[in-house]
Amino acid sequence: MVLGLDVQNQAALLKVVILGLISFVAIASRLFSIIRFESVIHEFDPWFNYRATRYLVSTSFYEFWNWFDERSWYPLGRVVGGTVFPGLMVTSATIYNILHALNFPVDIRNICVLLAPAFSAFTAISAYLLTAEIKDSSAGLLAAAFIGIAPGYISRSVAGSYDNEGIAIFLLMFTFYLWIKGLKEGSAFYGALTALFYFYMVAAWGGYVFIINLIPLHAFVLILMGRFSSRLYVAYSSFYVLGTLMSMQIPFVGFQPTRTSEHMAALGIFGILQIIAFVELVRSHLASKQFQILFKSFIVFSFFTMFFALVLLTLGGYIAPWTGRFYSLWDTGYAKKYIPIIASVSEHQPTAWPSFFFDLEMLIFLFPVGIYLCFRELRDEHVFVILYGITASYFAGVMVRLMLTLTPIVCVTAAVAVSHLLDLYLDINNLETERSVDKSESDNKGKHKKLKEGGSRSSLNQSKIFGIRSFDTRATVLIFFYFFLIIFVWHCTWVTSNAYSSPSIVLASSHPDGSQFIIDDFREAYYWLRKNTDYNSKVMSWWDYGYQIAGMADRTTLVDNNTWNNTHIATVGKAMASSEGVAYQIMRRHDVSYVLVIFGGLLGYSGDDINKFLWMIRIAEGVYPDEVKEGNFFTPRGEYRVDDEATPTMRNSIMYKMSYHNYNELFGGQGQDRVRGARLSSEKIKLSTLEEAYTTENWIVRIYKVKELDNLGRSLEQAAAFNSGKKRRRSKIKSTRNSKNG
Amino acid sequence: MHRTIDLTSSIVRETTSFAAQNIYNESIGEYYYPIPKEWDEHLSFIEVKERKTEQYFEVEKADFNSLKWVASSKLSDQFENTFVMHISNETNEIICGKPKNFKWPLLHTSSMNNCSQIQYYKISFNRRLDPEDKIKFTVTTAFTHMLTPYPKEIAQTGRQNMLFRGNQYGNSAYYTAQQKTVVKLPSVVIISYSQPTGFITNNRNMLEYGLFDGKEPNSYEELKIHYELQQSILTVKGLRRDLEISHWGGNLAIEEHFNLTQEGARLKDNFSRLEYHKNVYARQSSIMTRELSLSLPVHASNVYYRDEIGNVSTSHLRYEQDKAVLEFKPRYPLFGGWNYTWYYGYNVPAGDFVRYHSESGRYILNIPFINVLPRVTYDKVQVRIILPEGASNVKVETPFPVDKESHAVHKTYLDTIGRYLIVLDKFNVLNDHAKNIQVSYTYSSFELLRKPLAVSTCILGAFLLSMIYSRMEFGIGKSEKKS
Repeated sequence: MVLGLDVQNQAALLKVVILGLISFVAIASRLFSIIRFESVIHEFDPWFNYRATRYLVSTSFYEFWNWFDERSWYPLGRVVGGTVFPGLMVTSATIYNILHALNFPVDIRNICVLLAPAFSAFTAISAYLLTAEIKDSSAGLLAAAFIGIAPGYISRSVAGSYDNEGIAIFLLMFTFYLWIKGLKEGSAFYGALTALFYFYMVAAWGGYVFIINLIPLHAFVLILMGRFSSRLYVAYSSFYVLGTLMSMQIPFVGFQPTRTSEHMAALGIFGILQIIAFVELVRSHLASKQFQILFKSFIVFSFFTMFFALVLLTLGGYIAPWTGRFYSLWDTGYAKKYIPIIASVSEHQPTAWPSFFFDLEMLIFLFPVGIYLCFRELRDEHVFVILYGITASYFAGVMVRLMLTLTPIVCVTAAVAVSHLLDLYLDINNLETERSVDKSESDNKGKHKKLKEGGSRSSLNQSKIFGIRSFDTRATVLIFFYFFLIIFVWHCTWVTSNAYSSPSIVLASSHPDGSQFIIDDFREAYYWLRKNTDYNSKVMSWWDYGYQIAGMADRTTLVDNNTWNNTHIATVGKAMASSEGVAYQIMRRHDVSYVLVIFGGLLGYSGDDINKFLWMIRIAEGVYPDEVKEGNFFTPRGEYRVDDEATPTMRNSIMYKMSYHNYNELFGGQGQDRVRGARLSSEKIKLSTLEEAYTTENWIVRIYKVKELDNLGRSLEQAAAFNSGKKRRRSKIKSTRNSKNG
Repeated sequence: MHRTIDLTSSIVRETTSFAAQNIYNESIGEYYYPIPKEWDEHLSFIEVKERKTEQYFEVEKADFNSLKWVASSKLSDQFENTFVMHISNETNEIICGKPKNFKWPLLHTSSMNNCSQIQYYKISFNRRLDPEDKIKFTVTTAFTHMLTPYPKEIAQTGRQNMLFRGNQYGNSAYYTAQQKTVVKLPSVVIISYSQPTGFITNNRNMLEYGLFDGKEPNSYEELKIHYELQQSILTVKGLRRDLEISHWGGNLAIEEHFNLTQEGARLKDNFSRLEYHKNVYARQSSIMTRELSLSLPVHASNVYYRDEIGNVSTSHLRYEQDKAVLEFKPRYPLFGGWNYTWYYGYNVPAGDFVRYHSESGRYILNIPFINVLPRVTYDKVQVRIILPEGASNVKVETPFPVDKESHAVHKTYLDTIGRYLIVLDKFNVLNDHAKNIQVSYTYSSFELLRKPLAVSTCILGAFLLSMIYSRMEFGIGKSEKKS
């Protein structure tokens, strides 16, 4: 008796303590970036979420709902309220308001930074609940521990990574838990709760489509397995009706649940369930075996009719066809061909094999084992796990980013597998019987027996003396397994610390003496823009930096990471890829006052604009095929070069000019590009329509000011030529010649 | 009258020594010192002390607009050479001394309308001067924003020249028998200056105007000096200091928010990083600001330096014997016209600044009004002092008048009734204002228990609620599990 509690209460207390510790570890392991750097918002998208949250906090919810952001997508603007998943912002704003009502003046930035780690603790708890439904609570604890530190999930939920996924994975797991629970108990209450959390999920992340397809798939498979029950009917119907109605309240989703193909499966299953329920009712009055067969074929028939009806409706335009992003899920080459903008994002690339191991380590080996164990039991909830596992592993293979949805189920199945193994090898009853047995014998006989399947206790008792379950072999297995687990923890920590904890707006390197040296060029440039330019000036840059400029520099941008208007992005791409004259016209038309480029040549920062330039060209070519041609940027030998051999088109593009302006002079002649390992041509780069406004310490960010029109009405090239004083005469001669010819 | 104008920094400091005599037939206790209105807007401090005894005289703004100017010729023949001025309290009349054969009104050289263009400061002597008595005193004034860069734009490595406009004669509402003005300049590079023939001597970086004899009250002759000032002109547009005392932690948390502008000559072309990298020498002598340093109390801990978008990594803290020095670089070098904002904060043990005075039973906070950031002037300073929750009977004393003092309630972590907040606002502040302000208050030891009580009450409430909840039945009908 510990603390005067009986065994059950002790177990409950232990569970609570362990879950608390797991939550703590889950949060703590995500704080690397805060400790190493600071409490700051990371990367790109989080900056928009942060900015939106601040807007929500500083105004009211209704103003946020109707927010028209005229400071992005200039001159189009963006209807933020209608194009955003508000769940994340509302969550942090709610936390903020509650804390402030209780006199805790916590800065909104800190709430945003710590939101994802806090929710990862909740994810761990919901993983526990889900796994406890599938196997038992000890497996649940293992699952919670796994998901708490699995890098696949940490990658999107470190402190500062203030993105939708941070709370969405918790919602995903909790919705599934409630669904399983509802299905098990056939309870309308849990069905409604599922719908409620589904609604939250819809509000939080576009990945809700996964839920609204997976649950119907589960229902459908259960029906096909002949497992239709009133429990399924109650749970699914209450979930679907309430969930759909609620999800339609989000403006961004709107009528999609009734109009788009992504949601049709759920509607179809709902219909089928009604039919089956009706048929069941009929059958309960006239039961026969033939009826069963007739009934099944009827189901299959109606499924196909509905499917074809759906296809016809889609073709007829009543239901929106699949979106491009969705197609790219099935055909990995699709995006590259038709929507370069989707393909240009690194997280939309197909996953490389090593990254499965990198993100999941040993869990990826245990995953099939867990699936196998689910097959052995195959209750309703196991079917769900299997379906989830199969679909998620497919999606994870297609897109790097969807590794995130795979991770939870891998953790659950792996926990099932590990806990199964531990159940067998740690059985205390076994241990005691073992002790009575002579140890030497078990040693010899160990190799004779092959691994015996599973562990029905009756067979166990018979083979007391022989086999792998003798004490020391058991210890060997356990020690090995503990070793694996320790390696797993070590690997997760290592990956988190090395790969996923860089805020990416701050670069870290080290001094020769090992002390940390921080390269803070991005913020240097953004802060310069923020403080020393006109509040209404427009900044043109590639869309990657749109959110950061809006968030940190607080200036109007032309394009940003929302990428809703391909044409506008292509226009910016065209400006970057064209010569000064063409670009100047585009920039004047868009009221651009500053142009921002990222240049890594001096420092060897490879994520710079010259490396992204090909994507700009490709996207621009998609919209302006006559004016921008990718081929012109490649040398005759098909190489993409920036040195002496760079093509004239490349050298005349303002991107090239802005990147390398004054760069040769820094080296006193020929510049050395450290990213591309190239020596530049020694020709001086002249800019006539742009002038350098600011360049950061390590030259990573370069800001150029677009010149005003010339006072004398000349073109800026002419004015520049006149000022330099050289070409004046020649151009005059030319013009007189031309006039003579004409 | 001997006047020194110090132009070696961005602050114009004027020190005027007076030797004055009462030529009126009654005893006099005050003196009026005129400052033109446009200068007065930039006046950040004025100080008067007697030269012999080093005693400070009281100075206050005199509101002359409400006064009536009179010409009373009956006194006119009494005065000669020196000054007298008097406001008779009963009639609000001003009677001024004047030289012989001079017409009323005397205070202004031209017309009555000028009256509104001059701000008078009333200096009260510590004693009354009998007729024919003499007194020697010094008026020290400092002005900000009195210099304009000319040319307004210079190249990145260029030299900065400033233009100063002033009066060749000292400010005096009285007849001045003899006067001299010395202008101190930062370097020998003087591009041009007013040269009244016969009254100017140039001694390296000193210009001497005078001696002038027998000048009328408020005489004016333009003084224009164009000279080189190779310094950054830093102005803090706004400074907010938050001082929060906690008796619980025995801690004084200080956070200061700066909004800094470099008001020197603007950059002619845009900033070129290449030139910045290349010309190391020019970089050192340039007027831009790369680095600032602050001295903090020696026990300062948890020092941070941030701006609106996060931590700035280019700061360095080192401890010296009697202070801690925080050296930091702004994110970018500050050229003319560039702005930068930041804030920094630190904790110090409250005992360093707060003392308990057992006789009166009061706690006394003694802390400088501002923390000195060298070479800087402040347009507006706001000091917010947050006293611990439950502090009462608050008294604030400042060594100089502040423009606004307000009291409010501030609520923060674990507060129930909120903390006492004092807000002091002052415009046009110089580093000379880094003098101690004193806040005293009473604080009973019961207040220390307020927070633990509040927290434990909340937790108790939560436990009670959960007890009630767990004993209630929410299901419809009988639940089967419990029986």
